[in-house]
Amino acid sequence: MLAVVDEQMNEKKEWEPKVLAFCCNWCSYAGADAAGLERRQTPPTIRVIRVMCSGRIDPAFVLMGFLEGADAVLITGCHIGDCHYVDANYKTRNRFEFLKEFVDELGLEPERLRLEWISASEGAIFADMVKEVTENVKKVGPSPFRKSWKK
Amino acid sequence: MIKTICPGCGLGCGLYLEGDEERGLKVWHRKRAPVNVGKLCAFGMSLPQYYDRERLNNTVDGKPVTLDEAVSEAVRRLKGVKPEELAFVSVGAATCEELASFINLCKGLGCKNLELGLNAAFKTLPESSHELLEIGVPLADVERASKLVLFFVEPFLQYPLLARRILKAKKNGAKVFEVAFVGSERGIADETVLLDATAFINAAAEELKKLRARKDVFEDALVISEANPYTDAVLLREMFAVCAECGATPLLMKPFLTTSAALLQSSLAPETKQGLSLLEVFEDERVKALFLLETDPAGALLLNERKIRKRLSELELLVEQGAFRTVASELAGVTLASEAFFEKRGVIVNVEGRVLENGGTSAAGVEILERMVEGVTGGRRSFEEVRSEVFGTLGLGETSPKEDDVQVKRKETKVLAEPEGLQGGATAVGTARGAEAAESGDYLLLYRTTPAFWSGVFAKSFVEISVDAARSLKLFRDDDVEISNAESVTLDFKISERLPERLIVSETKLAGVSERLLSPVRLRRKE
Amino acid sequence: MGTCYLAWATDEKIRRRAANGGFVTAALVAALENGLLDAVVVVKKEDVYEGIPTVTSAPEVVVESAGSLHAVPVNLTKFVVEFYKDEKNKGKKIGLPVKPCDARGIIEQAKRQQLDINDIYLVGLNCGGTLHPLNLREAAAEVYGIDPDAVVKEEIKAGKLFLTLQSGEERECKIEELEKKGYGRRDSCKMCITKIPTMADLACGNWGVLKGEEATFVEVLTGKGEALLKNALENGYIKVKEASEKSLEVRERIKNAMVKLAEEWWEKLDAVKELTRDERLKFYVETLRLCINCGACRTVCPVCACDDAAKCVSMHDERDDYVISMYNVIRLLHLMDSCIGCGQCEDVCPVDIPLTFIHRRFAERMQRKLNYMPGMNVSEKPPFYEAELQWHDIL
Ligand SMILES: Cc1cc2nc3c(=O)[nH]c(=O)nc-3n(C[C@H](O)[C@H](O)[C@H](O)COP(=O)(O)OP(=O)(O)OC[C@H]3O[C@@H](n4cnc5c(N)ncnc54)[C@H](O)[C@@H]3O)c2cc1C
Ligand code: SF4
Ligand code: FES
Repeated sequence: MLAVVDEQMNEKKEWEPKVLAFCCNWCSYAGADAAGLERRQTPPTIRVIRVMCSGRIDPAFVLMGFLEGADAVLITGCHIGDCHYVDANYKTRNRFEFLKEFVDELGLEPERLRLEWISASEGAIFADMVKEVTENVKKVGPSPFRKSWKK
Repeated sequence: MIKTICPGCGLGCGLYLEGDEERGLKVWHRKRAPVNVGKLCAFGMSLPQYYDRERLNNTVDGKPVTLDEAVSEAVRRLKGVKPEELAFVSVGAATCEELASFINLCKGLGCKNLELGLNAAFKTLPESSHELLEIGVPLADVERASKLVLFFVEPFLQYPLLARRILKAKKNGAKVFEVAFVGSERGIADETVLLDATAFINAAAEELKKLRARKDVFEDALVISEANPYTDAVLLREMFAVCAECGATPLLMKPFLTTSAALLQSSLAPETKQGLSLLEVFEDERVKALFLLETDPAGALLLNERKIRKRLSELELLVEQGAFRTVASELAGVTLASEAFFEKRGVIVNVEGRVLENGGTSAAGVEILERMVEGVTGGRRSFEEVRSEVFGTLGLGETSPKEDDVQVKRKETKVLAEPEGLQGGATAVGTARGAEAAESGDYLLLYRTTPAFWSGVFAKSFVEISVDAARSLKLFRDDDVEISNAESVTLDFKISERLPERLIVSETKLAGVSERLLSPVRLRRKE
Repeated sequence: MGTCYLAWATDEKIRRRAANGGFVTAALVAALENGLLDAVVVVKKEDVYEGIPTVTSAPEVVVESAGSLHAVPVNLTKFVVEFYKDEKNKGKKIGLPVKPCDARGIIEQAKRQQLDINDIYLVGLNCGGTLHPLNLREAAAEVYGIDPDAVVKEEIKAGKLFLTLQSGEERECKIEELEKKGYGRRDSCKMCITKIPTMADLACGNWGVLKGEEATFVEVLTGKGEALLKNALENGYIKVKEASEKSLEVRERIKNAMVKLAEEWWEKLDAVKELTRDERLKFYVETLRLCINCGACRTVCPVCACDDAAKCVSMHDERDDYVISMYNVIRLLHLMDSCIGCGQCEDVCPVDIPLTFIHRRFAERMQRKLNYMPGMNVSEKPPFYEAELQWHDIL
């Protein structure tokens, strides 16, 4: 999922959180894109994975993101009612309930997982959210799952 | 449902197998089995696949014959070979009863080359230590030990059902050390005494001095290691020497059902312990005829199949008795079809000395062997008679063995005499010559002999390499690596934080490349 | 609450072998002999420490298997699933004695279309818990001071475990005492709160059988249960009388006491409950990293119905060096709604990972949040079951 071996080639001195965002093709990806186009200050911490619909985000992907060492994982999609596959984002919401409990029980801070509905025009909201998550994650520190050599 | 024993690694885990050839077999856990509390490792779980192989038929020169014909032809041909040119080999899933008959046949033919998996080790160690090789200590003692040393053995990978005993020992307050070229992935040890593989391969004696400097590790410890046909003689000898010096107790794990074999060989044919080892049988030109019992040479040998085939086809006579077809089958002059291990009636002795009854009902394997004995010596024993010889040899008396007791015990627990020094003609079975290492490769490949993979049922399709190696080769996750010396293989890799830069670890035999414990190799990136 | 009876087998031979009144055996035999059932699954006794689940149509095998084996902690679900995997068994009617965890497993398999619950007659057994056979052997030697091999019979009565020797001598010890010493019931059973199998067709047990009575207390819970009872009664295999108020009261009281005990155990066992987030994480990492990927826990899991394409297997790559493997996180996640806490996974784990406990910790909070208990009702779909995931809010 995440390029791993190559990244440690240019080791950074100071730890910068890595935030993995799953974005649905129709809304939130466009939103993220808009954030970029509008030259909003989206922190460089973000890594976006585009999926066709948030309903396609298998919770296992999210867990894999954490195990790979992501400091936070964002699940984003169209607002409820706007999903291009009718109501697949209800699925997303239900799964998120499981993930939330899971991640908490496992011992990861709740700050590391977030679900957000973002429309194509909400670039600003996207950028703010990423900023907020990054700030929050900075407070709780690097993911305990990250292997030292994968810095 | 058949109550059976897993023939994988010598621990003797109990399980049920259910089903038939048509529907396939299914494993059910037998929680009452005392060795493993019903638990099984991945190999135990995959026994249905292990048993789901093409069965061997009775043949003479490749043509199907009746069992009678095969037996009398085998006898005729075996009698026609000079005893000194003949070798008997069994390093697989045979019961004690079968092994007793096998030994009987071997002796009847006047053959002194009998290899049941431990000759290399027997020859490495003085007679006074042989008992310690033959039989281990009760596994309950592992749980109770106050100090454990894992000497070049990775229980989680090699002998998984031993691992939980070690964990229990830790819970009971034991201190656990490991001596290894690379530390355990699961961090089971409180302290790791690392030896440098490159230094070892260049000057073993020098590198091993590190151990003598750490007597505190070994003093009064239970030292767990492994003996198989590929065990490095230098390491084995050193282990015994340190144990002798420090009053430590050795426990040697063994693959397959080697404990049964070692006990019977020592009692019934002690003179053969100095005979050819498995490797020697396959290398020594003097061997012109071979009798294989329940042994797949491709599984048991580190040589690649091409070399094995070549060697086997050069033989004047090859007789194979077993349940399944192997690389030897089509080259064999005579093949004799027996039953699969789970179908066999008979006992085995596990590493700790428990005599375990295998729940099958067939005595076909023993009967075939005894009919051959009859053809050679005129005398033939019934299964019961063979069994009573086995029980007598093991000191059991007449009653059925109880699975809950450890019945065959060591007389001595500690190593008495230190084996002679390393200079004394130690033949490092598994280690390459230093010079070769320096020349031909820049990495060292460590082959971790894992019984579970010898059966060929499943394998790990990757090697482990160090973080530094991955960096210097600029590897990406989807790349493969090519590992080569005389031959080469290309496969996946896993990056392992624990590995020293120049070490590569493989649990799967890499045909032709990893023919020893440590082999110098080159490592390249393959896109 | 269904109608409750005290019932007993008319056949002396059955009564002699049976745990209580022999109702269970008699009802199964009657069903076989009168064509209500094609086959029966019973646990065939080898000795006190070993019993082998056996599918049979032979009434004599059922009679032979009468009696309760407390030290055979087997779950029958996967045996039933295997039975129906065989094409020629499709549509056959079977009946079997089930502890609550057997019944719940079978119901979960029905939800996952592995079997048709209408084909299966669940003769529920109340269950105070099972013991591990080797643990019982050790207890026999260490606590009772007897040779484990000399034990010919074990029985649980009024909170005590009785062991009968070859000589006929009987020894006893309070289960509470045993458990203080590290023996006694398996952890999963200590924690289990489903003591009466209300999800089965019948619920049978000795709670509510009063002193001097030799009978099985039977609660009829469904039409299938009623059919079994009626068939046995009308064909003369059993006799019944309606349970008295006193009987009902006693049964309820013991059950409540057992549930309370289980809840206390849960708290006792919940050693990491008070742990901080970091300590929790450390506990999971340290235990789960021992996993050797044998896959045994998945194979025996009575609620899992995945084949080899299962996500926990296919998304697991041995080359990953994750601190916890994908296999384990996926299984933990997927079982949050469906784990019934039977403990089979832990029983078979070769490296002794405390899996019951770990799974229960994840499952307990989710099931509470969802107000959902798996294995209780075929028509309640598992919330996480992806193929049928409801597209409306689950909460
Ligand atoms: C492990 C266990 C714990 C129990 N605990 C309680 C309790 O605390 N309170 C209570 O009221 N009742 C309990 N029971 C039920 C009780 O022991 C009797 O089984 C029940 O009263 C029926 O009696 P019976 O004479 O009609 O059964 P029987 O005619 O004796 O038939 C019993 C049937 O149970 C099957 N069986 C035996 N062992 C097992 C097993 N381990 N798993 C699944 N099936 C098995 C046998 O094959 C047989 O068919 C328990 C039963 C078991 C198996
Ligand atoms: S049984 Fe234990 S070792 Fe095997 S896969 Fe499950 S957790 Fe891992
Ligand atoms: S298409 Fe965006 S959530 Fe379904």
